[in-house]
Parts: sequence; structure tokens; C-alpha cells
Amino acid sequence: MRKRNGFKLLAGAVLGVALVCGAFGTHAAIEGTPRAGAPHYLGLFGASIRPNDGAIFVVGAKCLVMVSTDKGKSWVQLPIRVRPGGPLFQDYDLYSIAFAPDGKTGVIVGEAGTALNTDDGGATWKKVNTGTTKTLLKVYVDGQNVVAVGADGAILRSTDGGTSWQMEKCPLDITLFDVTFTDPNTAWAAGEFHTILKSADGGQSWTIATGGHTENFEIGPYFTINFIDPQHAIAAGLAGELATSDDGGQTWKTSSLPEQVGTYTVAYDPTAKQIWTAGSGGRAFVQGADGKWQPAPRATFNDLTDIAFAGTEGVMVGLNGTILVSDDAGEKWQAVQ
Amino acid sequence: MASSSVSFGSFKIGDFVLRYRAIIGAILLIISGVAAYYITQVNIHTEFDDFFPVRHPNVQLYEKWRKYGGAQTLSVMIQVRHGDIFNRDTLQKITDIQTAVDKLPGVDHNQVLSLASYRVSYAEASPGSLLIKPFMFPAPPTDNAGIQDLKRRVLANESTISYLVNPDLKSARVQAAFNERGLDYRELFYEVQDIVKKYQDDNNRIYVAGEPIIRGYGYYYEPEVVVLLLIAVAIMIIILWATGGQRSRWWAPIVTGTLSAVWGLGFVGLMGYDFDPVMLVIPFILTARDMSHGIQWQGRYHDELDRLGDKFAACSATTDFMLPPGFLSIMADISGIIFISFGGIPVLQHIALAGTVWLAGSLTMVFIFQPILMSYLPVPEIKHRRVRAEKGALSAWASRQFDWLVHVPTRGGLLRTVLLGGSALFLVYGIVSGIDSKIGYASAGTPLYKPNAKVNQDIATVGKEFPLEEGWVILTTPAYPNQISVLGGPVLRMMDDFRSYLLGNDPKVLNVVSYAGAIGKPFNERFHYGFPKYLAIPEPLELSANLWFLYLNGSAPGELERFISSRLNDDTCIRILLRDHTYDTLNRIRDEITQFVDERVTPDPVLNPADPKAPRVGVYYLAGLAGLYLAANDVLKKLDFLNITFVLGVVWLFCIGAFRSIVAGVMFLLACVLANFGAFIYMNARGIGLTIDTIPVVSLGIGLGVDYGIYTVSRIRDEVMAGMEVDDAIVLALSTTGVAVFNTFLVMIGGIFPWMFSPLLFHSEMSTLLIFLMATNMVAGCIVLPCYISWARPSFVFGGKAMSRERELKAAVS
Repeated sequence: MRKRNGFKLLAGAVLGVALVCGAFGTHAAIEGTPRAGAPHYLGLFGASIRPNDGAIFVVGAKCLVMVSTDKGKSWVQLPIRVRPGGPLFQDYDLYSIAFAPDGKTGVIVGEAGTALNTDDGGATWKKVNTGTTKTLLKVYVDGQNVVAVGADGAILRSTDGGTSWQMEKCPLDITLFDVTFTDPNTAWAAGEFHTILKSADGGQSWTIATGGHTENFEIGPYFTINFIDPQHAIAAGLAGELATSDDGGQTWKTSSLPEQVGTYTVAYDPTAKQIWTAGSGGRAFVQGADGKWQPAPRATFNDLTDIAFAGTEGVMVGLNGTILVSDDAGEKWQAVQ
Repeated sequence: MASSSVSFGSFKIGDFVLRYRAIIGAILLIISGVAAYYITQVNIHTEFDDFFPVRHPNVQLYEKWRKYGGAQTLSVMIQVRHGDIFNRDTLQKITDIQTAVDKLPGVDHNQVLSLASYRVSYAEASPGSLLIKPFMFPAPPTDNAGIQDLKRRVLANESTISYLVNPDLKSARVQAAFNERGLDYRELFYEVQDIVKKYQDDNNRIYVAGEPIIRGYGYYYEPEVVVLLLIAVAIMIIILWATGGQRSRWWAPIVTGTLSAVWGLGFVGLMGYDFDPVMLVIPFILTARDMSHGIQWQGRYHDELDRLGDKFAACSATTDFMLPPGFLSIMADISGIIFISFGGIPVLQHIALAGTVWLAGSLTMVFIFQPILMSYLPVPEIKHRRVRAEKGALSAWASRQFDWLVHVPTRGGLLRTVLLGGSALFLVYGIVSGIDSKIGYASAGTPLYKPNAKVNQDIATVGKEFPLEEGWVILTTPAYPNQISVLGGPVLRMMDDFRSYLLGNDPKVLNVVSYAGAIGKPFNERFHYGFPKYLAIPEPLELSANLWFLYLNGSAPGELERFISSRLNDDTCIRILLRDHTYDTLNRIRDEITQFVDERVTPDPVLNPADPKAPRVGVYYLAGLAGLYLAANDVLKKLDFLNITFVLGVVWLFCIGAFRSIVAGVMFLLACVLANFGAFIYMNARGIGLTIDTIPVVSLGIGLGVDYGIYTVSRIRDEVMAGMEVDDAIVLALSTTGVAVFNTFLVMIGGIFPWMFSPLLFHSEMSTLLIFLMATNMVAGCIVLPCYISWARPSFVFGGKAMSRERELKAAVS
């Protein structure tokens, strides 16, 4: 099955990854432990393609942060420290990673209120104090403005690239699974009870855009929300439930995927102009220009947790160390072994 | 009159035995009669627990936490040739096999697990609820939609069910644990074979693996082993007849051999030891040994008869001559086997004690009962010497070769130098190999059977799809609701870290199964809509406890107890599933656990608070089958060294005592090392490790060969003391005692040789090893030692001060 890589034996060996030149300058060299892929026994939860140069960053269980600067062929695991103690104590799960458009500022969030930030394009990460122990499930970085959401109504905001944080008030005591921005002021979050929240002040204050019926336990969550453009949005949740908006989030219509599959991530591929969903059991669907959902060829049976696209490059990650990469805008996906 | 080189001063034991022959004979026969009764009590049976050292911490840990299941697990794997297991036929077979395995004798009903078990369940999230359902209980789905649904559920829960359904979906297994005490391996083996026969077909291949099957195969091969036993007995009798057949009493060694066997086996019955069929080779070595002593005795008896002409005088003289060296060599044999009892492994203790009694029986029967028997029988007639009469060209040639051979030690020159030099080199090589000898199992299957045997092929096939070896790490914690109870986040987190630590470090680790990874995290995920980011340690404690409660109520009785044995939630078992149980794998695992504890548990201020009075988490390892094997390895490693040291020490002391010379002691010691460390050369070359099965044989082999040299050198010394020239004495000794030693060698080889063709690799390897050992001992005792004596002329043979005194004393007595 999966190849277990022996690189752990070389732990401590330091590799200077080639300097990568981007349109806006040079990223710092990334140092860490070389790896062929992610360990099969760790789940991966977040993926991000660094703007400018296409370096792929993935984050996962037990402080796993890996970078590939060659489209997934080889990886470097970064040393991450979030708890006092030796390497075996670095066991918090990291759930989301995001970069600002400049590719310099980036934030990672995770279990127990964990957050790390970088100002050198992800070469080095610094643990920052968020003032909470609530699990942070998703982060969005819009320049220096950063919003993270998570369990039990956690909404955290930073205006200095993730260095200092303040807790914002959530109108409902629900878990929020995803957050996104359509412009520097307008932010959206998705969560339990088919709830979508909106902020018009860059994430400071939030109102219920739709859902919020917390008394009805038969209503499931939306795990993910994404805006294709300022007008068109899509959210997805349990059993293939979808919510779409064509009017900039004013009204939402429910629909569903062809199959009742738990859907954990929705992404827009700007090159092929297709919307992707991915989720439980490795099931992914693509919506073409005709608006019809087609199942994508199944590349894994593991739950898929995140998708990212940039140019023709695409990456999907999932449980059990799953990484799929595409260099043709999602035509074909190649598993990283 | 020739005097014995080894005697009990002026006391003539031979006269004593013959004077009271009626009483002594009667007593010995009564003992034999009682022993014969106890033979009927011998139980051919295998007791798993007896194979492991009871005082070793791993074994004690395993005993203490036995509620986590038996170490012996049976795996019945069904593998499809075409498609996957998700078809009506195969799913039905899995259900049927689950039911059949649940009915096996001695099975622990709580520990019969498969896709069809009602204890193997999954949790399903839907808005507002969390459902726990068995995958395929009570019956497999019959329609295609149901089958596809099942397949989807299995795939969605791959990480928790991969130990029962391989992720490629072509193999599934039924795993069962057994209540160890009193397990009937024969019955179990045949019932499992019935399951295989009943459910196997062209598309569904069935393979079985596990300790109960390995032991059970011993019974499967029993008929072939019995045939080999009979052939071996027949060959021994033929050799006996061929070597002593010109005399009418050639059969006497059969009588004495049988009686000692009666003593040995009677003791086994009396003590209630179990007799494992695999170990059958050991009694056989003992019998062959006994017969060879008998042949020696008869040879000397006939010599004495020829010389003295009187039956009683010959019996008495033979006893005097033969008892002391016989005593010495049997003591060497006993020393070879008795020390293996020191390790505290019951099976080895049984073999050691029964072997000792058996050998003591040999001593009594061959050297005391035999003269009594002979004294009651008429003088053995010399039959017509057919063989000698038909002396042809061939035997003339043979006799020339023989003549050349017996003169090798006295001739000197290059050949002798090469022999002595080569021996010295072999000695060094043997010692190096001995130091380098491997402990434990060297390969994944069982070394008891051949690599291409069905059992090993099955183990290899199953092992490719599923882990077969299991080691347990036990955690003890304060009870719930302490933050560091088993359900507490810090403990669950550490358990989960342990899993990724082992999986990341050791390719031999296939999985690490704990409450944290198998229940805590997946239930947390299911509880949160199945959202993968919640595949995390459930915190806070209240959430973790709620999930525990959900699982407890949703799962079958006994299912939770595989992970947490007590409702107080103050202990848990982490199972490490391993690819094999080789020495290196097990040692590495132990080292890795130690390192993990040192780097992750000990420095953790929550799990291991600074306040010595505060409750803390205890980590105990390694139990389970892997722990038991590791325990055996630990003991065998020490035992091997101890055993050899003691055996050599005893040989040295006895030789010093017998020959009254330290030089003699050193000489025999080196001869013993020379001849027997060859065993390690052979074992290393063949990749055979020292295991519970091999150590008694190797150990016994060391004791067995040394008396070849003792007999030969005693004779040389006897003749020199009687006034003969040194080289003449050597030639005489080699052509008389040397021939008798060679005959003994033949009997031993004849008895052991058929075992080379045993279906059991263990038998064939051990018989090859023993033949090799007997041969090296032959060469060492009959060629190398005489060469050395002729070359170096040690004073204990050629008249040091002690020897002169002895000679004077003997002369005075006679």
C-alpha cells in the first residue's frame, strides 16, 4: 500500500531548499527534514499554494507542516514548536493554513487555540498567543487582516498579520467550520445549523445571513463556504447538502450533490472555471459551466479535507497522509506516495 | 592384573553388585515396574504457558493483565482470487467461519472478531444522532445495494477495521483468542482444518495462522514422526546386531535402554509433565545415548570374558572398569541438560529433570543392572563368525585403512601437525561463532517446520495482509474523573503520540491500536458530524467520558474490555501489531518503547508530576505474545552462556577428579569446546537461533560427545599404567576402545539419521546438528586427543608424581 518513508531516520539532517524566485522577489530558503510525502498515519487538514511561486504548503495532525517547491515531487517538513517539551510533545493538530496575496504573511491555526504566523513566506513560523483554548478550524488571511473561526463560536481577528489577536463576538454559540472574504470589509463564515454569518467590517462584528435555527437538531452544518466572485457563492455540508447564492449572499438556495456525501471543502478553479467539492471517502464532484455536478474520478478512499488551486496547479489533502496534486487544472490528480 | 585408571580406591564395586545381585536386581525391577505404571499417565499435550519463563517481568505482566485476551491468536483468512470480498458468497463464508470459529474448543467467545462479528461495529453520524451498528451482524447483505453499502462503510472506517479487512478488499480474516490453560491443540487443529475444507473453493482460498496452529501441526505430523521413530529404532537394532551380533547377548543394550526409557518416561508421568510431540527427538537422543553406553559395556564384557574366562569375574571386572568412566560420561550428559532448568522456563525444567532421571536410569541400568542380568544369563556364545570368515578383498582393504588410521596419532609428521593446527583454528572459529550466536527466531514463520511447509506458507500469506504478532503496553492511571485517568486528554494524547512515534520509526510496526486511536478519536469525529478535523483527541474530559459512555452502551458486551478492562477507567492496553517476532524486531520494539517513555512520559509534568505522592501514569511493557517471546529470548541469552559455562566447568572438574590432573581437565575442556562449539558454526551458517526448542538439543549435544574422549584416553592411560609403551598404548586403545566408540557413534547416528527426513524442520536441523556434533566429537576424542597425547606427552598419562603414587597404590592393592 503506502510506502513508508525512511527519512525519519535522517531527522535532524538539514536541507537547504533551492531559493525560489517569485514575481515579487525571493522567498527565504526553507529548512527542515526532507520527506517523500506525508506519513500515512497522520491526517492532513489544510493546504495552501503560496501566491507568486506556487510552493505547496500542507498542514496536518501532530504539528505537521510540509512544503513542496517542485509541485509535490519532494517535500520538506518544517520544525514546529507549539508546546513546551521535546519533539514528541509537538502533538497538536493543525487545521488550516493561509497566505496573504503577497505570499509573505501567513497564518496556521489548529487544536486548542494554537496559531502560528510567518512574515517570510512560510520559511519560519512563530507560535502566537490567541488567548483561547478553543479549537480553531479555519483561517483566512487578507493582507494584515486575519480571521480565524472554530469550535463553540470562536471568532478571532488579527490586524497585524496574526501576531496579536482579539476574540470577536459570535451571534450564536455554534461551531464555525469555515471563513472567507469577498473584499477587505466583507467576510463570511459557515457553521452548524446551516448557518452562514456575514461581517461587513472586516470580521469585527457578525450577523446571521442565513440559518441559525439552533433549536432544530435535525439541521446539519455547513462545513465550507466559498465565493466564486462577489456575487456567486456556494456552501456545502453533510450528506451533499448545498446552499448557493447568486446575489452576493443576500439570498441562499438549497440544493444537493448527486450523492449524499459529507462535503468538507469547496474550491473554485479559476483556470478551468470549475467548482470542486471534496469530502467523505475521497469523493469529489466538479461543476462545469453548464451547472451540472459530475463525480470526479476517485483517487483515494480517504476523507478529503481541503483543496487549493493556483493557476494550473491544484492540491487536495485528506486523512491518512493523502496528498493529491494536479498540474493541469484538475484534469488529472497524482497521489503523492 | 590390569588396574582401572579410575576407581573408588580399594572398594570393588563390581564384587559388591554381584554379591547382592538378587536384592539390587529386585529393587531395580520394582522401581521399573512402578515407573512403567506411570508411563500410562504421560500426557501427549502442549501447554503454551510452559514455554515461557514464569519469573520474567513480561510473563508476569501478561499473567496479570490476561483479561486483555490470550496471547495465542488464531487467524483464519479468506482471500478471493477474483474481484473483492464484497460478494454474497464470500460474505456468507465470513459469517459462517465466524460462527464456526466461535465453536472451536477453548476459544474466548469475547475475542472472536471479524467483519461478521457483532462486536465489530462502526459509528454513523447523522444530524442529531450518533448510531453504533455492527458492520455485518447478524447476517450478510443479500442484495447488491446492501453489499455496496457495506463496502462503503468498510472503506469509510478503513483505519479501524484494517486488521480484519485488508484495505485492498481482497482478504478478510476471522481472528480468535483462546483460553490458554488446557487447550487441546490436536482437537483444535483438526477442527480448524475442517473449517478450511468446508469453506474453501476455487475463488475463496482459506489460510490459517497463529500459535495454536503452529503447535497443532506437531500433531498433524505425528503419524509420520511415529514412522520415523520406528525406522530409527529398527536401524539402531540392526546396527546393534551388526556390531555385536557375533555374540549371543547383542540384544542386552535394548533391555537396558528400554528400562532407562521406562524410568525417564515414568518420571514424566509421575510429575504430570506434558509431552510435546515436537520434543520427541530428545528422548530419542537419550535412548541412543543409553544404547551406546550399553555397547561399550558389552564390548568390554566380552573382552574380559575372553581374558578371564569366568562369567562372574568378567561381570565384576567390567563393572569396575566401566562404571567410573560411565559415571563420568553420564554426569557430563546430565550436566549438559540439568542447567537448562535454571532459566525458569517450565518446559526446559521438565526436559532437564526428566532427562536427568532418564540418564540416571541409564547409569543404573547399563552399569549396575546389566552385570546382574549378565550374571544370571549363561555365558554368551560366540556364534559362527560369518562376517570374518568371508573376508574378501574389500575388508582386507578396509583393514589396511583402519590400520593406517589408528597409527595416525603416533606417526607424527605433517598430518599430525595439520590435524592439531586445524583443530586449534576450528576451536577459535567455534568460540567466535558461539559468542556470535543468535537468540530467538530469525524468520517470520516458525522454525519448527520447513519454510515451504503449508503452515509457514500460510503464515507468510496471512502475514502479508494482516499483522500476526501482538505486543501489549499496559498503562495504569488514577481512576476517572481524574484528569489523567485513561479517558483524560493528556493520557489519550500520549497514547496517540506513541502510535505515530512507533509507526514513524519502525517499519516492522504495522499498527498501534489503543483506545485513543480506535475509539476516542473516531468517536469524537463521528460525534462532530464525521467532520475529519475532529478526528482528534476528545477534550475536555467530560466530552471524552460522554463518548466512552456512548461506546459502552452502543457496543457489544466485552468490546470495550479489549481496551479498558475496568469501569473505573484506570488501566488500558495498547496493542502493537508487528510484522514478525524475530529477535531483532522484538529487541528494537522494546528499545523504542523505552526511548518513548524516557522522552515523552517521564518528562511530562502532567503524566508524571514532580510531587512523589501525586497520582501518575504507569507504563508497563511488554506483554502479549511478542512480550512472551522477548521474555524467552532474554532468558535464553543468559541461559546459553550460563549453561555452557556450567557444562564446561563440570567437565573440567570431573576430569580433574578422574585423572587427578589439571592438565587433563584443561585438555578435555578444550576437546569439549573444540567438538561442540562446532554446533554454533553450524547454527550460524544455517541461520538457526537459540530458542526454547533448540537449546535442550544443543545443550544435550555438548554433554554427549565428551565421553568419546574420556573412554579413549582412559584406555590409553590404563595401558600405560599397566606398563605399555605410549604409542603402543594409543594404537591398542584406538583399535579396541576406538572401535567401540566408533560403534557407539554408529548407533547414535543410526538412531538420529532418520530424523533428518522428518517433515519437521526442527527435527531435521537438530538431527543434522547432532550428527555433526557426534562426528566432531568422534574426531576430537579418537584422533585429535591421541595426536595431542602422542605429541605433548602430558604427565597425567605418562607418569607425573600423582600417577606414580597411584600406580604404587594399585600395585600394592593387587
